[in-house]
Amino acid sequence: MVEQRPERPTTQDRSVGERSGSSAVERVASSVPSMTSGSTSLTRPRATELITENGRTTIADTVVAKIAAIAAREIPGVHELVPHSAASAIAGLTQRVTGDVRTAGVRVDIGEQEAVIDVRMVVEYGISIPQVAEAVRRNIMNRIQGLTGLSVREVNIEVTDLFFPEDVAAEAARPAESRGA
Amino acid sequence: MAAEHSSPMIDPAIALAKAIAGALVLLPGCVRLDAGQFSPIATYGPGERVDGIAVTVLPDRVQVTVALVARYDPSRSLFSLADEVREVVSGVAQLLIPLPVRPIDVVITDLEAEGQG
Repeated sequence: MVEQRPERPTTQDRSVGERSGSSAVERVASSVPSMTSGSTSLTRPRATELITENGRTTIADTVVAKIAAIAAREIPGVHELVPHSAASAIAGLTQRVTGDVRTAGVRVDIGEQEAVIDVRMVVEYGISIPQVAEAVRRNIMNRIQGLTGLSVREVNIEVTDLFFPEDVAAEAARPAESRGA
Repeated sequence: MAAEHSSPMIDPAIALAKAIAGALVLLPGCVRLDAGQFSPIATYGPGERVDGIAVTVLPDRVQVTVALVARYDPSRSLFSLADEVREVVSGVAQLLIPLPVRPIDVVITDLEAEGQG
């Protein structure tokens, strides 16, 4: 069983790989970053790393989330991104505790090689939702791959609402207190 | 003896950190230096502190870590920005300190785009 497990030498489990006598349970726990509960995982932000001969380049998870958010907004027809929950107000706290990053409607889960991105968005009325969603998905994948080298396994898109541009034009003419918000 | 506290000697680490900080703000891809929130990356000197750059002067080499907020630019990889940062750092260091600079670690803590926080 132990021999069949694929060896993935990364920064997280490099030291573990040296210890040949460690039990199977220990090794599984150590090779899964989310399960390691050492102090380093709390003091050090989770991040994408590239180690070169001249030094290490670290890209924070927030950066990946922001790229996804910007990439989504680049597509015409995307009106805005919707935060994942009310708890996103304390996103800084949840991020520190759970390790997941929420940036303005984008949730990012980064594994050793791949990332999974969840996006919640409001689209404009009149566009083809599947077409726009596909464009958003492609753009997020291309941008993240191009800028960080990280490959994106999946982009899950949730369209939460429609936006009617005519409403805003009408509301702009009315006093502010009549807006429902 | 008392001179130790008000020594006119320039601390090489803080001098180098300030010089690097001055050069890096000129890079178009770098919005600003950022100490980061977890284990602050900074160089400390008498009465001052340079955030976003950690310079460690060792007997045989100088170790530098730079933490910065990158400007969003879809045409360039963040790794090419990191390489640019390394060139600037080693260029500045060569002028000031006769020691090799290695390694130069680059941490990209955040990203900013025009018209967006």
